[in-house]
Amino acid sequence: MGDIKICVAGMNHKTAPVEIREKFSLKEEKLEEAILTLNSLPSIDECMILSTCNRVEFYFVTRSETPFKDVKNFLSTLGKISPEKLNDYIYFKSQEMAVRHGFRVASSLDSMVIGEPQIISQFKTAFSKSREVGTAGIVINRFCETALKISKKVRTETTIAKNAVSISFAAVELAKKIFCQLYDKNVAIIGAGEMAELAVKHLISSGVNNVFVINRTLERAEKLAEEFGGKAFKLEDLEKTVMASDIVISSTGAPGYVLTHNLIENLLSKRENRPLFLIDIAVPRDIDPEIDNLENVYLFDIDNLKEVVEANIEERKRAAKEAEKIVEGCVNRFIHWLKEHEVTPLVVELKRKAEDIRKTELEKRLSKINLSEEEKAQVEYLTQIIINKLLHTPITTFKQKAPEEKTYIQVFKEIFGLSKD
Amino acid sequence: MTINSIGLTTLVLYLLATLHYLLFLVTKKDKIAIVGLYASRIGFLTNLLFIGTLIAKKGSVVLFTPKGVFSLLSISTISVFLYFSTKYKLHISGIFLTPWAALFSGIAVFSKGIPKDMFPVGVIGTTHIFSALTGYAAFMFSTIVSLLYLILDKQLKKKKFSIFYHKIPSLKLLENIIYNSITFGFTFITVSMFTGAIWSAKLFGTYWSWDPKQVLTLITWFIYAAILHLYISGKWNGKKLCYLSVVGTVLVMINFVGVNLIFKGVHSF
Repeated sequence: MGDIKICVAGMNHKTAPVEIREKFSLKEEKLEEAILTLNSLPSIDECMILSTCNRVEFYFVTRSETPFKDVKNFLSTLGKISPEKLNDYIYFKSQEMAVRHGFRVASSLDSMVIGEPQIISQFKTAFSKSREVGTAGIVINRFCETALKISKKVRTETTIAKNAVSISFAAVELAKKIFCQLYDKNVAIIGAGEMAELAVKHLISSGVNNVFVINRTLERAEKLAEEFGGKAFKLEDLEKTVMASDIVISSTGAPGYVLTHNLIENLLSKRENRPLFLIDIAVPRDIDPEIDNLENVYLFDIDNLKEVVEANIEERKRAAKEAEKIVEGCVNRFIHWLKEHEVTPLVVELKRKAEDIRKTELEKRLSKINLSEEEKAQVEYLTQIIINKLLHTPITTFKQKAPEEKTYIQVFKEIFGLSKD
Repeated sequence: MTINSIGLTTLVLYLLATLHYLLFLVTKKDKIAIVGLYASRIGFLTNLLFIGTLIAKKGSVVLFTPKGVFSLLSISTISVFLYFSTKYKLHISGIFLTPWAALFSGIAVFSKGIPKDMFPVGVIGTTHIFSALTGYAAFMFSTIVSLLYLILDKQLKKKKFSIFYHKIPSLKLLENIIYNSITFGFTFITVSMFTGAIWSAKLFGTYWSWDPKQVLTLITWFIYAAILHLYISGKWNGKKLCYLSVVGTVLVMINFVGVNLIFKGVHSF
């Protein structure tokens, strides 16, 4: 039996195309079956499977000298591909590498979109599944709890998840950059379109006051307004509606400008300096770009929103560097714990053995001689202190040296006659 | 001298804060900004101690020497910064404010602390100078927030996004802060004008003596009154408010530095 090791074998969106990933994708009963099969392999002590649409990863704890031998066979049967081909898609990592990988995955540093939040719940689900079926032991438990703690720390201490990385969320972010709070702001949507509707939905969940839906035909407007819980207007009411709005999202199929420079300029003097945020998602554009030169108006077309997203992705990448440092600091601590974890049971066993000897011997002797309560307490104390002092050096030396030099474990066991294997 | 070493400590702390805020601008790491914040906080305490020991040793008349005035100015700058940055989480304003605090405390350390005339200072005199300098610091802060507003507005217009875009909460919030700090400064300047008049009546028997500083302060007061009026009535806001606030502070600066250099009178030191 070798050292205890934590390992991972897996594939993600970077290493394997979807046609390979789908072969390993595991859901419900199949997942449960796979965990149990993996756990039944003789070399494996504990295991956990993380299966999402972007990655399938098998975390396991083993003492085998060739940790991936059994797992490779298991994977090749599971995915029905030859073991040689597996190497092209699957990464095998152990110890530091595996721990770092797991921590990075849980912190969303390995995700396609850095900082996306779904991976955390997916990681939690994987963890609770392996606990449910009983394949998570001390090591997997500790590993997952640490990974989730790091993930939380990364989220609160860096800006990795702060900035919008989709067009529709970028619109909400910009609205907040301009207005701060949205509860007293009204949003108008002109026309319809998937992205525009999504942006409106995000704005509604950010707490905007009213939603106005404007369409060429009132019927269509009413249908969409019902969905948003807003009011419907005809295109003829455009001026009146924009006047009452703070955020306007335009997404019509009209060939010319729906909102012209003149229209907005006239409105502005009546608006008493209330800022106006215009979002033009339509191609060809609905809003005259000249409008952006007016004061108190902020006009963003689809390309501008993309620029916001790009700047935010850069910001996330920068935050990711800080996050990597947080992860790095925890990897070594975990490995140290893992190595010590092997040592601690032996120390506990030795202490218990010594205590057992002390107790039985003490009972035998004390029953034969007549001592007062105080004297008994003295003898009790004396035996205890002898044991503590005698064991102090071997235990501290062992704790210090054993995690790095495995021969100490064997020697320690033999010298003190400990049964643990 | 021990008093000056306290002043020097303050200067070093403010320089440390400045350095860290500039590094924050380059590296964009929040942890660096936190170092700057703590340096400013400790600097505030040593600055307070500096003024306290100065007054204890030489009496409150020391406040009317360059040493006193500049150490007061540095502490009011840093306290206004600490107050608003904590309340509105606007740590990025430290980039613009800490250099000024460092400059003022530097002048304080290396300038004379010997009073020119021996005015009887008393409570009124102390209130006068304290409120005047707190008012100046608040106006200065409003200008710096105005600059942040103009930067964010420009980035939203030009669609170029830098650290300011990511660290500034929102235009509306900045506008509120500008309004708040101007109201704050305006209140203190008003107090300073009234106490000044009362003090003047006590010392020279007249409330108003057409001293250049009095005249300029009155003009500044009217400008800020106009800014507040225009903002509250909803006529001027956003960028216009920012430009006005910058103009106001430039006037305050001229008032503070210029009058001292050009004219000789009760307000020069």
